[in-house]
Amino acid sequence: MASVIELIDVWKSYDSFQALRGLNLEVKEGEIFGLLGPNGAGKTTTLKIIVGLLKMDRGIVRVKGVDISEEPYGYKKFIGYVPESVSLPDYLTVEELLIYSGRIRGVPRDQIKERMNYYVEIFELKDKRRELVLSLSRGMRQKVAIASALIHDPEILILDEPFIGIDPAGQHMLKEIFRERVERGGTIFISTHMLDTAERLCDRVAIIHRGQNIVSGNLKSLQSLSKSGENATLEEVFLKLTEEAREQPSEELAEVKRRRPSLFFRR
Amino acid sequence: MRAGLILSVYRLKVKAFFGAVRASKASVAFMLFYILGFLPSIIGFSMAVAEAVKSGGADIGLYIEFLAAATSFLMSIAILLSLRGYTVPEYEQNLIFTSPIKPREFLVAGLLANLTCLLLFLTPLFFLYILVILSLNLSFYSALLILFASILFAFTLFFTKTFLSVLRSLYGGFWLPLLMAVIAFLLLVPTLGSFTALPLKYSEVPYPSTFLAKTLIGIIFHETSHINDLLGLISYFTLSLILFALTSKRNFFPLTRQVAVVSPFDISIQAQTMKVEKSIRTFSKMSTIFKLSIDSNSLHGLLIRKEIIRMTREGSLFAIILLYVVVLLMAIFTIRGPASGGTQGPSAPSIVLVLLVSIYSLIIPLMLAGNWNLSDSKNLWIPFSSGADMRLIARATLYSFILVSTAVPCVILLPISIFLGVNPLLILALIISASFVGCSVNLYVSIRFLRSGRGGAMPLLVGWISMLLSSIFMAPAYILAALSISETLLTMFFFAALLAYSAIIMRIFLKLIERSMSSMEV
Repeated sequence: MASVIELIDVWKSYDSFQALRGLNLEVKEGEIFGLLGPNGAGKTTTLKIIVGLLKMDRGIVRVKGVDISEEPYGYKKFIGYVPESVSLPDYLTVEELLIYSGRIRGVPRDQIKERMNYYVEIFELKDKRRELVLSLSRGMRQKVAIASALIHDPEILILDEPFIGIDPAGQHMLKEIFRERVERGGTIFISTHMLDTAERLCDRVAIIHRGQNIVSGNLKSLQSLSKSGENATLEEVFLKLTEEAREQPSEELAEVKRRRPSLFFRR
Repeated sequence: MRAGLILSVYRLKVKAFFGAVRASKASVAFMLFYILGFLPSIIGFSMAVAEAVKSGGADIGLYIEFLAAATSFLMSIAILLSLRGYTVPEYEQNLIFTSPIKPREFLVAGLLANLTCLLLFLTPLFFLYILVILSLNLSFYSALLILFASILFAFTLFFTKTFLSVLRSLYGGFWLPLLMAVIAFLLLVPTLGSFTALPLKYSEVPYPSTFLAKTLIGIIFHETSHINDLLGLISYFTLSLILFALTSKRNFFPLTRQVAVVSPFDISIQAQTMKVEKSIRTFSKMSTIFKLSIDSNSLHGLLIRKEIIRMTREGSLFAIILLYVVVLLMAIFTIRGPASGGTQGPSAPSIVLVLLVSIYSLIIPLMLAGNWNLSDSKNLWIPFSSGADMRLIARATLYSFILVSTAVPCVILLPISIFLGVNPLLILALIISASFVGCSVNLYVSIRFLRSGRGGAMPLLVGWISMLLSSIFMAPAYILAALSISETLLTMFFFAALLAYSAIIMRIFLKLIERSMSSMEV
């Protein structure tokens, strides 16, 4: 399978904080790829660089073979993106937002209409289509954001924590949409903290820590690389591989517990 | 009551308030300007009081009326603010209301914190107090009495406001707010005596403000009868304390109303978002004229329409119309009002109208850019991730600003300028020039702040910079307007030259906006 997203030695810093330190990553065509990592590992930064919301300090990012530094706009027609904390124009109705999203992506009007009807139906937004985005619940807003990312029928869907705030039925439906798109040759790239979901959903995952890719592959290869045993879950593999990150706070916590036992709950 | 707990909550509230001041250098600068800006007036006022006392010919009654009116106004505002019920920021609901604190402890901490925070704004009054004491050579006893009466009044005001707010939270309904509104109105009724022939005077009504005014003026002017007034003030204080104590027993926590801001200096994204959401909820109900239709022909047109929809549904358009209606009324009253004795020579309407248009036409772009920054800048990820040409987004935003800031004043002010005999070309030139220059400059400054990662910078700072830049670039328009008023210079040639100049400035800033927007990180 050909690579649709490639990151080669990508660096990114915010003032004095180094978010990415030479990140290498490869997402292949037709797979559901999960980006995992502890808080502050650089997951959101990675996704934002790929979709062009952030500029990397150095490195190469290729989307469908196109170097995004050389061609920063055209490749975006292949991408649909949903950020982690979705901010939407609250003053538009659901329908108006989808029209806006479709038109700025150059989707023909008849196709916008068709896809809009389809997504409001499957995302159960039919009754809400003429209501302001402001009036929607968090889960509904997330669904609208996903519908807006799908309005141009992109080949690659990039989603930052897509299941947060969505009810179980919505999550199930979303997974179905992902699988259906992958069957049609599409690629899904998600960042998530939900390891059990990632284990069941993703074909391959990458675990990044402190801005570096520490391991990537399918669950089997991760089990073998981490020497966690063949029955180990993704959660166990993840915890083992990010042990270094967990150890330090545990030591600190033990020290605080030893010095200030009164701070901790006792029955 | 647990003093330690009260102290902790008090500290937290004060830190939250001043934290917002410390978060921005602009807020600190603003506070310094506020305090220093009042100093000359305070020195002048204290000298005037000292002179009046020493000369012996001062109208004590007038001083009492003035002071009582000012303090009654404060009381009235406090009562009207209580109509919202007891309000708390979100962090207090989450952090304090979930702790075992009792309502009374929370109210006492809140009262002390409010008084502490108010001290910051009252610093100029404190200087006035010292200067009056020193310039009048008042005794220590008198100085203490003035301070005592002022503190009594401040506590009465706070107790009353807290009592009414809690009461309003506990009992909604119709009658309580009506009663509160009537009290607020009654407090201001004696003010009518100053403007009309009605025999209404503060000195003749037993208001707390009257007692305070009589006490303070009595001490300053060495009158001997102020003890009774002080007793009156003490009675009000006691009554408000009892009412406060009674209400503070009730659990009003679940009935409090959440507010966006922690302090007037709060520039947090959350606070700003809440403000915008509130506006959209209010204005979207009455503004369904514009809709984003799939059938719009050009993308550029659709983007401009989207911006106008935003302005309509978040209330910007309404605010602009209201502002220009106020300008219109001000112009009519100033030029044709009874006090002016009719039209005063050929240039008077021109001067008034040009002055008003010059001032207000610069505020509109500032308001438009500020509201865009609050409500739409956080949504820029949508066009950015879509691969849309950001230059097109920049142009559509600017053109929508120009469209609104030109169309509204033209519709409202041009007919009146013709009616008043003012050259409409002059008004049109000012409106268009201010719109072209002001909108492009304001949008550019907003985007620069966003680009530098200081999108949450205090609106005041962004406003200052924008207004200063706009005024500088508007200088040719002002010069031309001044010359036109005196010499009827504005011919078609100058009008065209001014428009060309404004268009050039707009083009230059548009290029800068496009460049900044294209290279932004969101």
